[in-house]
Amino acid sequence: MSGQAVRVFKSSYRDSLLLMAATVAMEGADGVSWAGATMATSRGLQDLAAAGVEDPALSGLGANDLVLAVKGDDDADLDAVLESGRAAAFEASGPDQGESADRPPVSVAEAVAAQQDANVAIVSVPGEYAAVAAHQALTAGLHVLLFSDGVPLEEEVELKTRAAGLGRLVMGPGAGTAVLAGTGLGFANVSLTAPHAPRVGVIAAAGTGAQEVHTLLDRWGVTVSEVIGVGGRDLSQTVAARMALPAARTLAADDATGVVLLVSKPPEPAVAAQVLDACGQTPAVAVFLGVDELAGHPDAPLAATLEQGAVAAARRVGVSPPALTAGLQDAVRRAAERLAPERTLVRGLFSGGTLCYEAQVILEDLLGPVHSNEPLRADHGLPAPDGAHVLLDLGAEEYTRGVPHPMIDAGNRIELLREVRESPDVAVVLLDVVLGHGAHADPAGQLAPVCAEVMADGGPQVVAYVLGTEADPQVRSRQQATLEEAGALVPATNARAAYAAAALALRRPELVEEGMAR
Amino acid sequence: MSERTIELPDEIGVVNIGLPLFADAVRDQGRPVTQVEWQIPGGGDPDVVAALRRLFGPRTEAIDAANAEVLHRLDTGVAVLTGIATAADVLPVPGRTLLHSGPALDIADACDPLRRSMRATVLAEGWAGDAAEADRMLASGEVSLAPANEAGAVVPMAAIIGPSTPVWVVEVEAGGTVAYAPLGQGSGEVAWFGQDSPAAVARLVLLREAVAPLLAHALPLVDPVDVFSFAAQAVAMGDDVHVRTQASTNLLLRHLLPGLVDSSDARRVEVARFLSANYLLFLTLAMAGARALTAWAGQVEGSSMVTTMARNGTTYGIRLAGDDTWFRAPAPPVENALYHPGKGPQDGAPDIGDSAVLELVGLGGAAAAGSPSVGQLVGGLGAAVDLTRDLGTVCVGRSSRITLPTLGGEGTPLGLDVRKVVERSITPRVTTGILHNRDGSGQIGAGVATAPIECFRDALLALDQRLA
Repeated sequence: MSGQAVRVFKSSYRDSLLLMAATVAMEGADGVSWAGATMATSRGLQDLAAAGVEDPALSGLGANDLVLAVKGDDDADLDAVLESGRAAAFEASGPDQGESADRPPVSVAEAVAAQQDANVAIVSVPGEYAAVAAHQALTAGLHVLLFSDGVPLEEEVELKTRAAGLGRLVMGPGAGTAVLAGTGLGFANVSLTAPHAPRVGVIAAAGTGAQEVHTLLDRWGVTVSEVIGVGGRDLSQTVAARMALPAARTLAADDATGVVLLVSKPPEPAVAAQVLDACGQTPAVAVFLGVDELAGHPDAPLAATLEQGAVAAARRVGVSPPALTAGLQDAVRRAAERLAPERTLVRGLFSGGTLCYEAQVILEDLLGPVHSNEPLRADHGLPAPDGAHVLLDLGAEEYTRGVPHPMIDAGNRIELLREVRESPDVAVVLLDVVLGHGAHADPAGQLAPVCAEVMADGGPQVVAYVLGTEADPQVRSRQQATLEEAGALVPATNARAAYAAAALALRRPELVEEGMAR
Repeated sequence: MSERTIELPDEIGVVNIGLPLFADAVRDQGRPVTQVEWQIPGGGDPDVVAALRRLFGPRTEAIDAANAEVLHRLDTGVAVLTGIATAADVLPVPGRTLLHSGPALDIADACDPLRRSMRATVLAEGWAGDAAEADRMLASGEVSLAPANEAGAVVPMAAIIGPSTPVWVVEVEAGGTVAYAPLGQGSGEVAWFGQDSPAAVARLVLLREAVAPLLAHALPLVDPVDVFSFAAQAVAMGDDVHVRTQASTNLLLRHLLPGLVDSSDARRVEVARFLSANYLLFLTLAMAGARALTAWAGQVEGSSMVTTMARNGTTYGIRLAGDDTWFRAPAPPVENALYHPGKGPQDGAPDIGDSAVLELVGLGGAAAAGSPSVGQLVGGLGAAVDLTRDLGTVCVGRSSRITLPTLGGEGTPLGLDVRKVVERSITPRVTTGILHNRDGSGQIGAGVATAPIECFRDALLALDQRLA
């Protein structure tokens, strides 16, 4: 026998994090077989119907009405379970909180009225509503970091056309990070370098590719003046660099910026060339992962990897990066000796999309086809054939529906790591560990014990790259030490981690020196 | 492609819309951040969201410019009482026509109090000898109906303007607009509360034959009455100038006093007794002023501002500036109500009257925060402050001349923006009286009526089409 209970809270919008918190709080109770906290959107109501939840209270609801529903044993106290869900959903701001006079701002305009010096809006609401908020921020005179995914292409073009006319940035959509005037926005790393150090300005899609070049340059003593995220589609034919072009002109006109570093997945060549031209007299370096030469523009200054792009940019401002492979070849040799002969495959579990992509570029070159949910080529998608190398981007939408992003919580990744333990043909598990604001407080601490488990008793070797700085809240050196103590190899860059993985898979330690500019 | 560059900031201040962890990250770096309490816009309806995106996006500069002009007119227009007139002499309404509140209405759909008020007016006009004959004339169409708003007038509650009804004439010189509203009928047995007793008919005759002549005599003898100057003073004295007009009425009578006592009219003491008992006298004068102002503001093209908001007891209707189209929804019930003993929700007629025009000019709900007596009606001054604040979240500006002492001199919310209303699903809440829905016993209570969102949503979608 089983029962169900439903509670509705009108006009109580809760973001997905709070909904998840409420779901988790209810699911964990004794005797509960199913629990859900959802807004009464059409999708939310479908989910409830699919779970077999029926209740007269569910009719006539709107998208801003919160529904808590639970199913469970007849003898379970479902009302108490709903109460625990209510407590979790309203933890941050109860409906009875505060008096009228101190009401928080409910619009961008009200927020700007309350904080006159505001100049940037971070928008991370669901994608179908994000353009409304972004337009309102532009109207209020703000630059916009548009974190939201799922913003339609035509809405992106509309936003960027308007922003360019207003002299404002729309960074995104899907921009996870930016650095403006030294302040990190979104998932951002904390710079260590002094403001008077040589400066590089970065224009990037604004995911982990931007974070990688930012932290590498910072580590080498090069100041990154700005990281302007333009979103993954800006260098397409349709969007036509509506943000990258004014951003390039702006950085070129900035005396403090010595080099412009442009980072993107393979772009529309003509559009990319336009952006490079817009840098004018300011030297530019471009990383278009996997693109060796820009069609029709053989002289374009390209670097193959994020690492090599950062190296080239550093050299252009007169800084020589330190050695990136010190001790790595020996470490790989020792690890390779330990691997059983049948272990030849690479399994990557990434939290950063661009890091996953860069690793695929490197590994396909050395190992042949690499399969992925975000593959380099359409025919290298999932499901992968037996005996294939597989790199997963766990930050992609299909892995983050209803669960936290892997940078925020490693739960999903830990489960997949344990599964790898069962595969007798995997030689290397390749991981990224992204630090900085917004990321988990101790990701290495979450992952290290599972890494040790995986490697025990002749398991595969874990190679983990830690993206971050010493100034990040998690402190890069501490995170590295935690992983090293667990037995993982921790190379200096994401590219080096990929080369190390290939070196292990092929038992050719010298490969860790590949892909370095002379 | 333009050659423009971006103005990059030197120091960052953030407004965060969405995940709070991004606000925390900025705060941790020692930079200022304000979290917006966001909610899904337009209830999540994809068509509405798309319209909001266009109207807040590519079209916003043109709309905001038009709205600024509307706001300027609402905030600065000087509405002056220029006289008392007989409706037939000034209103463009042919023959036997009755002007009623709200959008156009078929007699068959009229609620009981409105029907009774029409009957009383037909009797007062002398068109019928008894109630049955009046009903027959109304039902047959011999007496026709028209919305007061479409004739440049406004009427409170169930009040009716007939050809002989005396009206205030208020002009806004800057806009060349003029508007009318009937002289207040006062309290007791009165047609504007939906009563048709002999006393209610007699009150209409008193207004026409005694009150109007005396006021018409007095007006030229005193300085011109600047309606919003009086209203602003009265707000500082606790009026919201909608449900409470004690202070504004007193200011008006004091102002008129020299002119009134100059009269040698035989009925002047009778009229004075009526005026001194009519604590809502200023209400319809304020409404006429508001209508003259919104008429001027309503001439601006391409704006998203609401310049008509009216209900006829059956239908709620709004209009936007620059467009004569009514957008309608069923009139809402009056909620959070206090009833006279023995009466309850089952006895109340739906929301009725044109007085919500006051909410469009910074009075009524916009001024509730300054009125302890409105507080008594809605559950405390804190609740009255909420009423004003809620309206403020969907208005584009604040009045510079009507200010609230209780909020440190803050101006009352002004300029209702249909985009904001629909985005936040917050419609104006109007404090109002409740009339009996069947037996003609008049006002049975008072409460708060929340405007229906549907007509605002339809107006938004139509605006999106119109500006396409």
